[in-house]
Amino acid sequence: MSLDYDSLYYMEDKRLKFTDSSNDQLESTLAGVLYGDKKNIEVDLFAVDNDDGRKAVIQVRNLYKIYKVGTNKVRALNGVDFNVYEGEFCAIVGTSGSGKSTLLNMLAGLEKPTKGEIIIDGQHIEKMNENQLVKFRRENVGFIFQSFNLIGTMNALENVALPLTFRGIPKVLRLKRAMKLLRLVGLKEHAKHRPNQMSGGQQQRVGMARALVVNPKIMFADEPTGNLDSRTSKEMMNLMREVVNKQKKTLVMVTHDDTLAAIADKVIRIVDGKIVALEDRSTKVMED
Amino acid sequence: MRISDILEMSLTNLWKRKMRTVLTVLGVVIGTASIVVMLSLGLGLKQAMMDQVGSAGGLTEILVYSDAMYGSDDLLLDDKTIEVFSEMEYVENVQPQLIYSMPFQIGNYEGYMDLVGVTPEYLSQIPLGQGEYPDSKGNMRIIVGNQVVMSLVNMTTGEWPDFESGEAPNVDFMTMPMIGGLEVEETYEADNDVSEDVTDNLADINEDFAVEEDFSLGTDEFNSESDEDDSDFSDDELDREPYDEWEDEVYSYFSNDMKRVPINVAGVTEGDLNTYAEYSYYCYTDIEALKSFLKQQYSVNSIIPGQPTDRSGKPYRDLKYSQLTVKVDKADNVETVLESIQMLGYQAEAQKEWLEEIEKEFMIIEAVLGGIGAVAMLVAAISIANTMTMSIYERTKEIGVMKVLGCGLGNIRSMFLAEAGFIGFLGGIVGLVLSYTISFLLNKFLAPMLMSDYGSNVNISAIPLWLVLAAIVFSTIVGMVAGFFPAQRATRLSPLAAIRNE
Ligand SMILES: Nc1ncnc2c1ncn2[C@@H]1O[C@H](COP(=O)(O)OP(=O)(O)OP(=O)(O)O)[C@@H](O)[C@H]1O
Ligand SMILES: [Mg+2]
Repeated sequence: MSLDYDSLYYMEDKRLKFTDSSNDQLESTLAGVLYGDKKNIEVDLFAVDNDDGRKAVIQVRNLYKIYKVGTNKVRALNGVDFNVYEGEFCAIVGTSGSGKSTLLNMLAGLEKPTKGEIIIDGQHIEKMNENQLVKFRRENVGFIFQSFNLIGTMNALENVALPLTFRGIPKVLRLKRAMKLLRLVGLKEHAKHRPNQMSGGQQQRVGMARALVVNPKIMFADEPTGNLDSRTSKEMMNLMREVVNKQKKTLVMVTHDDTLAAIADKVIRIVDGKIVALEDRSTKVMED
Repeated sequence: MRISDILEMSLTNLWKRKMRTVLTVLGVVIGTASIVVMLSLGLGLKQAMMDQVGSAGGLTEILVYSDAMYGSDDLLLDDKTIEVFSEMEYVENVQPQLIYSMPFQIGNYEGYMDLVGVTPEYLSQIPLGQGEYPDSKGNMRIIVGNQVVMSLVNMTTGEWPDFESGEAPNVDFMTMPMIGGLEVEETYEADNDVSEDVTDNLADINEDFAVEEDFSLGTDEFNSESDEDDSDFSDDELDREPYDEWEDEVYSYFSNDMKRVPINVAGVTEGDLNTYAEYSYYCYTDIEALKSFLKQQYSVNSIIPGQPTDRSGKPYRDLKYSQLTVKVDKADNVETVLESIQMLGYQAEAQKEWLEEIEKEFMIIEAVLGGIGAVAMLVAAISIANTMTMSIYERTKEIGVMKVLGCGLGNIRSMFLAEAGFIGFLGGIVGLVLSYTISFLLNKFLAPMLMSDYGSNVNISAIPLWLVLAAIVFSTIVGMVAGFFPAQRATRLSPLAAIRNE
C-alpha cells in the first residue's frame, strides 16, 4: 500500500492527528503500511480503514499516564500508540507493573490520561466528564473483572441483568435476555445460584454474560483468568474467542500469560509503559 | 434506570442489613413520635379551648354586650339597638339575651341561678336530657343546666355536698318544686314578713303556689300598686341584709324580704354530672317569657335587679338586654360589621378575632413543644447519616462495579437517597402508630387529671389528619436530607475501586 500526497492533504483537511514519524513505536506499528522517508511529515493512518477494509474502533495516540507519588513520578504509560480494529481480539501482555491495567482502565474511561488521545468509535473519551463516561460505558462497553465482582445479594440471572437495569429496560425483558446469555455461556442451570454458590470459573462465565448482555461494541477484560486454574482459563479463553468470532465483538484483554495471549488476533507487548512489540496475526495471515 | 428498580434495590439493601435498618428506623420512630406527641398536646389544648368557646357558627357571630348594670357607662342594648343593627349591611339577624340572676330553693337545698332569656332559635339548639323545650306562652318555664345541681348547698346544715364530698345532692328538678327568690321593693316587704325563718319553707311553697295564679292574671294590679315606690328604700334594705344572715349562722342566698315565687322546670340539659357543656351551669328560658315574668313581678317604676338605671337612678321603661348576638352572613364580613358597631360606641367583639388571638398564642406553644420534639428528630437524622455513610463505605466495591457497568451518577445518588428516605418513611409510619398509642394513653389517664376544668371527656392530645400526613412527609424528607451527603459521596467514589484487588 502506498500513499500519495493527495490523500495526505485530504487527511489534513479532516483535521486528523499527525504523529512524529521518527518515533520508534510509530514505525513499528505502521510497518508495511507507511513508507516514510519524510521525517517531518506526521501521518496518521489509523483514521482510515486499511487495505483490509477494517475499521479502527479504538485509536490510541501518544498516550501518557504519569502518577505522582510524593516527589517521584511514575511513568505508568510512556507514550503509547496503537489501533484496535473491529472484530479483533486484542491481548495486552507484559510483566507485572508494566502498565497493562493502567492502559485498559484508560481505554474504558475509568481513569484520565495525563496526555494523549483515546478515540473510541469516533469519540474522544479523554475529553468526557464523568457523566458522559458513564453513559459511554453504558452504551458501548462491556467489562469483565479479574475478581468477577458479581453482586453478592443477587443470583446469577439478576447479576447478568444488572447492566440492563441501568438502561431502564423492564424487568421481564431484561431477565429474558439475561437468560439467553446464561445459556450462551452454558450456565442456564445455575441461573438461581448466588455467586457464593458457584465456582470461580462459573462466576467468570456469569461475568462474561453480564458483559455481553448489553450487546456492547467493545469488551474489556483485565486478567479475566487471573483467579482461575489453567484448565478453566483455557476454557474461558476458548469461550471468549468463540464470542468474538460469532458475535463480531471487539475484545481487549489484559494478561501476563503468553500462552493465553496466543489465542488473540493481536498481541501488544508492554514493558515499562511502552509498546515493545506488536504482533498482528490477522495481517500476518494475510501477508502469508 | 426505572424508579421501580431504584426503589427495589434500595429496599433489598435495607433488608440485607435488617438489624442496622431496624435500629436506625427506631431513632426516627422516637423522633417522629416526640414531635407528633408534643404537637398533639398543643393541638389538643387548643381544641379543648375552641370547643369550650362553642365555636359552632361562632365565626360569623359578633357579640355586643353592655356592662351598664354593673355601673359602667356602656351604651344600653334594647329593641331600638336591635333594629339599628339589623339594618346594617351583611347582618342576617340579631338575637338578644337577657340575664336575670336569682337564688332558688329545691327540696332541702338552695342555689343561685343565672337565668338566661334567649330566642326560640337559640333555645332549640340546646340539647335536652329530660323534659321539653319551653315556649313563650303561658307561665315562664325554664331549662336547667345539667351541672347546676353541683352548686346546691344544704339550707339547714350549710353543707355543700359537691365541694365537700364530691357527691351531688339527690335532687330531681323535673319533679321537685322549685322556688325562686325575687328582691322586691319596699311596698311588698309586708307580704313577705311571714317567711322570716328560712328553714320554714314548706309553708312558703304552699303559699307561693297559691299566689301563682294571681301573678298570671293580675299583672296590671301589681303595676298600679308599685307606682309610688322610691328606690331609696332598697339601699337601706341592702345594708340590713347581712345581719340577718349572720344571726342564722348559716349562709343563705335568700333574705327575709325576698318574694318567693314558684319556678316551673320544663327540662334539663343533656349530660350527667360529669359532662360539661356550654350550657351546663346556666338556666335558660324563652326571652319573651322572661320579659313578661319580670314585668309581672316588678312594677314599671321599680328597679329590677340586673337592670341598669339612668343617671338619676330611675329605672328605664323597657328591659335592657345584657348582650346581643349579631349574626353576619359571611366570616369575611365580620370585620366590617364589627367596625361599624364599634364606631357607634358599643362594646363588641367577634369570636373570630378572639379565636385568631388564641390561635396565635397556640402557634407559639406548638412551636416550643415541636422544637423539643425536633431535638429527638435531629439525633435520628444524625443516626441516618451515620448509617448511610457506613453502608456506602461497605459497598464501595459494589458502587464501583455498578459505575463500571454504566450506572448513571444520578441513579446511584437516587438509590441512596431512596434508602435514607425509606428509613425516614418507615420511621414516620411506626412513629405515628406509637404517637397514637401515647396520645390515647394521655387522653385516657392524664387528661382527666389535668383537663377537668374543661369537662370530663376532653382530650389533652389530638392528632389531626394533616399532622399525620405532615409527619410522614417530614420524616421522609429528614431521612433524605440526612442521606444527601453520604449519597453525594457515593457518586464521587472512583470506579477503579471495583477493579483493584485488595
Ligand atoms: N494509583 C496509582 N498511583 C501511583 N502509581 C500507580 C497507580 N496505579 C498504578 N501505578 C503504578 O503504575 C505502574 C503500572 O501499574 P499497572 O497496574 O498498570 O500494572 P500492571 O501491568 O497491571 O501489573 P499487574 O500485572 O501486576 O497487574 C506500576 O508501577 C504501579 O506502581
Ligand atoms: Mg494489572
